[in-house]
Amino acid sequence: MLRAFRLAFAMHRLEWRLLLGASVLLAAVSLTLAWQTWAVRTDELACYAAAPRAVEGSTENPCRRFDAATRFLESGRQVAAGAITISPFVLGLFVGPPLVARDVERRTAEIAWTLARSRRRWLVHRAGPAVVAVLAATAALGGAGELLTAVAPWNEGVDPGFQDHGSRGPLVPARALAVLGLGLAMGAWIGRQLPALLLTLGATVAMGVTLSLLIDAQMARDAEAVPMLAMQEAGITKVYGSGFRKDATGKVVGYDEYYARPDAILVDDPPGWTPVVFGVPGSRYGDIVVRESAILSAVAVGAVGAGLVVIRRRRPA
Amino acid sequence: MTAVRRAFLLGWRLHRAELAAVTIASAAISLVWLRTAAELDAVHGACLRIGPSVAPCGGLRESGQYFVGASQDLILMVAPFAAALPFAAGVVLGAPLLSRELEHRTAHIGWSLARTRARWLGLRLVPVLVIGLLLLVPVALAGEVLARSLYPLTDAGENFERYGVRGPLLLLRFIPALALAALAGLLVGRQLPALLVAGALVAALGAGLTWLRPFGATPVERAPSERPADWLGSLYVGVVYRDADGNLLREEEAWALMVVAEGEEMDEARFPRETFLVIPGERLPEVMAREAGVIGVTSVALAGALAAATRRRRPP
Repeated sequence: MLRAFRLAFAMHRLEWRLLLGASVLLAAVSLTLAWQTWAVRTDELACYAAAPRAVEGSTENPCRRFDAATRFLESGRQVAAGAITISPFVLGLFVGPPLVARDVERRTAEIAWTLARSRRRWLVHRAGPAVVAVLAATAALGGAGELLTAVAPWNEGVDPGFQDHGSRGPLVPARALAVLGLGLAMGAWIGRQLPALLLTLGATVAMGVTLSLLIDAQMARDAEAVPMLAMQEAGITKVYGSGFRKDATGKVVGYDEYYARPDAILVDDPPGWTPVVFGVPGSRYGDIVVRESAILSAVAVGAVGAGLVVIRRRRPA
Repeated sequence: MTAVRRAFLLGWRLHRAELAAVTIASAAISLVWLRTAAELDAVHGACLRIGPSVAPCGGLRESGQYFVGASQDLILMVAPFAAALPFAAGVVLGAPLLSRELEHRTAHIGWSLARTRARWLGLRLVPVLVIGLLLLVPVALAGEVLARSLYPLTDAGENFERYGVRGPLLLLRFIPALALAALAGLLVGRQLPALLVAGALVAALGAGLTWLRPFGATPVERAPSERPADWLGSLYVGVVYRDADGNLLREEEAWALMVVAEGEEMDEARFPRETFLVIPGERLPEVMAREAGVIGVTSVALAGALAAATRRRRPP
């Protein structure tokens, strides 16, 4: 296996150096930003705690010296989170397609297939190191993303819920593996690196749109009625509808249904009823991540399987 | 003439997949823009008949545009892709232009057979540049059509809305992106790493163009207005705060004063005044000309660097 890693690194040296180097740098920058955000915030809170009681009407801020650092760190946090969000796609796109396509394009695949015990074994030796490298890089980025979200001042002591969705946790490696699998399959099918990369990009966009529609539909089905005033506290980021809950019975009705009632009162806040919104509370973020990761893993396994079938059936060029 | 025709055919044959990708992207975005424009035109036609009292017709009077669910969603979803298209097309067509020849080791054969490397470069680069520009023309035109349908009361020639995603700027931005990506390809010498490097460099180029806007044009101060329609067409540059005597205030000073004023019922005359820095819509041609100048200078410099690098590049 060590030889497979060495070979993989030798074959894709330039891309892997660039991509893995950028990933390590991004993870290091993210961790530094998280650490500095935490440190500056701790000092800022200590400053406010030690500051004299504010005089009513005063415009003075006793801890103004932290403002510039806080703003800078927040900008950096946003840039780092954005970079982590796109990192699985870039890694998958540039690592997946050339795994098989380069050998086919340079006509070295036929020699390798003849010498290997089986084409499946050959594929495992080609793709295994890439999967491990991408998984390690994106897992590190996902972990760094979690820390970046956790240290944001507005997340102190609360569950961040759906905030920074896609730039933290297991979704980062899951997305990378799915794109890598698609790239591998496209590379095996097309047999040329650049066209395979472009097709993988198209397939990734299609997968992203389909997945987001599926997840959104599922979230609409899972939406719970939450009092409108508790929406922010519950961590609801998307509202799928609104209505009223009868205080006496707990029965929930939609707006249209309420206003169609003969006893409806045409105000926003009718007595005896609590206005509610339908949404998925932030506490259920974990369920959504598990579902999305499961779909992405299935895509990755299916794509690699399809790639293997193509490789087995591929005839010499 | 035959040499030019042959160069175009060779360009098409060598970069078929990349050109197909740009064609698909360009066609898809153009179709979305034209369909959305047709939908907005239908709304405008209906609103002209029934008047502004019915939704969504009132939006035109208040904000200078119609807010129609489907068209708004689509525009928001597709606009980033349209803005990125000239840069992405430059990367996809430019990065493999020379790196493929170097990677496949056909470059040194080509260089030996060509009269000069500069001529060889011209015959490789110009056909892809011309075909790429032609492929982007539909998006640039469709963007103009959409701008006219989206803001029917505003002259599209004096409107900064949808700046850069329509008209000639969209085409012009492709030129430095292609040259920069081709230069990256020449220096890196392998397709996929070149694509990565070119992607990063062209993203920096795009960010630089956004950062430089309005390219040295002097903004004017304009007091806020209650009606969004009064703002339509101007390019927002920034915001300044002035006290009652007209002196400039720092943003945090102004905010602190506003917070105090709310609690104290301060005399309105003492409120800090928020003033926006804008470039009025009439000056769109000036800003476009400035950006075109920056793009022109950048493109010439990159083309020169590309020619010099091609002359000095040693065979792999």
